[in-house]
Amino acid sequence: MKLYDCSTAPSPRRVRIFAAEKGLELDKVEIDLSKGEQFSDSFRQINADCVVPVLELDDGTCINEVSAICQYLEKAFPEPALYGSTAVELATVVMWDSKIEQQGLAAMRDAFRNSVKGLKAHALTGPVSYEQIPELAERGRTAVSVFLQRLDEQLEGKEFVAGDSFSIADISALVLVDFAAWIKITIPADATDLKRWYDAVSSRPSAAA
Amino acid sequence: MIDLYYWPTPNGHKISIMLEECELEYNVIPVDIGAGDQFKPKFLRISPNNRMPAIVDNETGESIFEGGAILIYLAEKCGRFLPTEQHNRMQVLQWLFWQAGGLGPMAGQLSHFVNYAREPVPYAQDRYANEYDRLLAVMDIRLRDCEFLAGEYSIADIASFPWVVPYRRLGNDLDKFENLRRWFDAIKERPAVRTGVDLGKAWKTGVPKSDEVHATMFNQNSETVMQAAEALED
Repeated sequence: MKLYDCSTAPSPRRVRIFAAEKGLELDKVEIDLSKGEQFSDSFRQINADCVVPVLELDDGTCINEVSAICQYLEKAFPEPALYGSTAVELATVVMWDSKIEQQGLAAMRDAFRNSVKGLKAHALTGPVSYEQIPELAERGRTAVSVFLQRLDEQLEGKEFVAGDSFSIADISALVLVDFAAWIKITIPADATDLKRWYDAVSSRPSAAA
Repeated sequence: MIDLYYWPTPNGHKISIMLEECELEYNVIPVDIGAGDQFKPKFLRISPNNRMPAIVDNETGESIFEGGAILIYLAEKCGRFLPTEQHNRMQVLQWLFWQAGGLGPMAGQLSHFVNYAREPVPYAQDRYANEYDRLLAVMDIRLRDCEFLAGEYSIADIASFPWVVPYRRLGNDLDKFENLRRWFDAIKERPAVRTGVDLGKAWKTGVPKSDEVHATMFNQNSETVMQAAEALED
């Protein structure tokens, strides 16, 4: 197995943390997004959407999209479970991971990609050029702040985002909080449960992956 | 970076305008006062009076409530809109406190009886309409002699402007206040003021109608506040 990775980017970090929690050592191929290596002809053969991460299996199958890669790894390497154990736990984990992707990470992407100078003609990922819309950056910032409050409420009285066990939802939320710091959105001072959770999950060895 | 706890009301606008004027970077954390966000126990740590606006300056860790105090803090942080020389500084501070103790509360009460009271209370409406009218005249007279309340544009103007904005809805008009009108028009044109007043415009749901929202906003007393504070202890 080979992970097409970018050591500085948030999305592949979700897979790296996931693999580290499973105790997996993945071979990594660094795709330097700052140099535009994701647009090279050779990488387009691996993922026509020109984004990382991509997991290439030993038989040559390429899986992209974070959630797909993590679900593959979960099925292939069930221990420890990162999508819960029971049907209800699975649903709760997927529900929260999906909220984090759609309300948190998507807003964060809007805020980041529509404001950073270097991404002027790349406000969306992928090979097609899209101009930035500054209003989307503003709206994204607010939506991220709102979602961090939502996470804080969810974490009240809970050790982890989707309940009693560490899961992909915690990984995604951790990556979201660290990504938000790129545009100087930090955990609000009144979000004490989020802070407690963040301190705990970021001190797990996998967080360094 | 500054976290701004905010909802688009005149008191909220004081700080959104100030942050724009100072060109400071900030995150907006909406405090939906109709939904009761301001009574969430955790918000008490930031704002023990259950009111927005409040700010947390992540650079210094300072957490501040009360619009006037926030304005002074930001002015000192940026070295703008509050002179350091004593005479000029006192000019600003006396008009700032005049706003915080007079114009704001009187206009706020008037707004309550005009916009939110479930039944007309003529005595209260007259009382606050007269006070608002008197305070606008006080401003107008002051502005005969100077361009802005304290001479130069300052946090006293930033604090007062948002409470003049709703004059029409509060049953007044600026036609009889020539100097106030000039002041109002000049401030209205400032780009930072426009951006500040526009912040979160789309979130507004208008005058609350449901009993629940009305109760959340206006039926708070010592009991409800103590309950929130106790939840914080747990």
